[in-house]
Amino acid sequence: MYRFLLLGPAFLGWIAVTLQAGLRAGFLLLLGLGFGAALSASRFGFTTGWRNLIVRKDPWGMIGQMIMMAICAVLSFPLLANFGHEIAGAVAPITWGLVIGAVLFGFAMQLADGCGSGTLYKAGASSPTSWVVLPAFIAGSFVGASHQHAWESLGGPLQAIGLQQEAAPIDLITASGMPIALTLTLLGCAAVAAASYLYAKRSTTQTGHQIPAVPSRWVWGAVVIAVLYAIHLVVAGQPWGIVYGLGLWGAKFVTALGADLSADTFWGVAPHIERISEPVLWDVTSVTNIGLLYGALIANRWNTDAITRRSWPSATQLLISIFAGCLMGYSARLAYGCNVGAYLGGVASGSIHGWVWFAFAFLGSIGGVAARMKARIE
Amino acid sequence: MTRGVIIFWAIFVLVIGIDYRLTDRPRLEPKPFALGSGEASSSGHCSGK
Repeated sequence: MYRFLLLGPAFLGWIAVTLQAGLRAGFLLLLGLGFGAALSASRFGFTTGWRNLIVRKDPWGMIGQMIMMAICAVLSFPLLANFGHEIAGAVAPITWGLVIGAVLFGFAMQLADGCGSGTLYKAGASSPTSWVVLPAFIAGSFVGASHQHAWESLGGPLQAIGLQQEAAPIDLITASGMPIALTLTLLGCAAVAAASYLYAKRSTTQTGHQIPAVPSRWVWGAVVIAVLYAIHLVVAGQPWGIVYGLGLWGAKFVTALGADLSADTFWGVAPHIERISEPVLWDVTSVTNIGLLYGALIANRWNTDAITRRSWPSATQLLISIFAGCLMGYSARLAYGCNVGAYLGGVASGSIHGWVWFAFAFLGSIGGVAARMKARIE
Repeated sequence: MTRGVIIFWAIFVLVIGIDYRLTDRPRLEPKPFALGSGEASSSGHCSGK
């Protein structure tokens, strides 16, 4: 009975958002609820998937992510190629900020035990650690966005070796056409999935173990999230994102306290300055984030195994989580997003920066897992 | 933990309410779906848009 009562606020929230912010915002809230429910019910975690591969030699999380990427690309590329005047992809330049930000984000997400989407859905699903990480993430995102232009002025690695005159996006759909871009992206997903499986197979064979059976949650979670991603693209006209909304919440907070951001190189220009002065429910990313938080709570009450840790962490772990949250927020802005906005959004938009983000964030995660073990974080 | 959940959501709803009170103004409402609207999205995104 208690679980069904949770549907009431979701319904009322949808009505309120639709009346106050319009049909599109209402649809986005529903999509956010869907994302949160799917992430929480399937425990579809980018952080856990990578850690499982690094520590337990379990490849299924990574393979699940690649299935999701591939479905997202199949659904998104035709929309991006044919309706570019209405639907834009997540396309960003290859900058030093992207490289450094991705490494730091990958490192911090292992310490915080949650990436962008993971922190949100775990906070929604009542994880006290994520309640602490979320405000730190918001603060980091706000400051990171403010510094983004300074990082961009450093240029990028392709510029440094003479392959680009200035750090610029590489959009496969524009550069090579939709069919070739889709083929290359699917091949990339297949290569990562195969490499993960072969690495796990070799590692487990050496230790006399076997690769665990495929948990179905990675498969159905990937399919549901990919379908929601494509619907979000149709409704919002832009890919699903998380970090922009969190930074915006920070900007709104400091503005409410009296700060003047009109001279800020990021928050002081369009469209961000308008977003600060408008209700939060009008912002695409914010309204999806709010839905995600509540969707995770609903799904969590149907699946009591979803969140294993419901007690407050130790003081040391709290401090580590706050540090990791700040670092994730800051680095996500340098790297043009988190695992959702940059990694999923970039790859599913045919932008090379998504693959660069993945490579360097995974590198950072290897360090993060080691640091996590040293700090004895459970 | 139920108390924690209630406090978390109470703060969350309160902040959204305060934000709405501070920022409410007339809105040029976008069409329900971006696809077919004839307009590009003007919202911010993590990719730097």
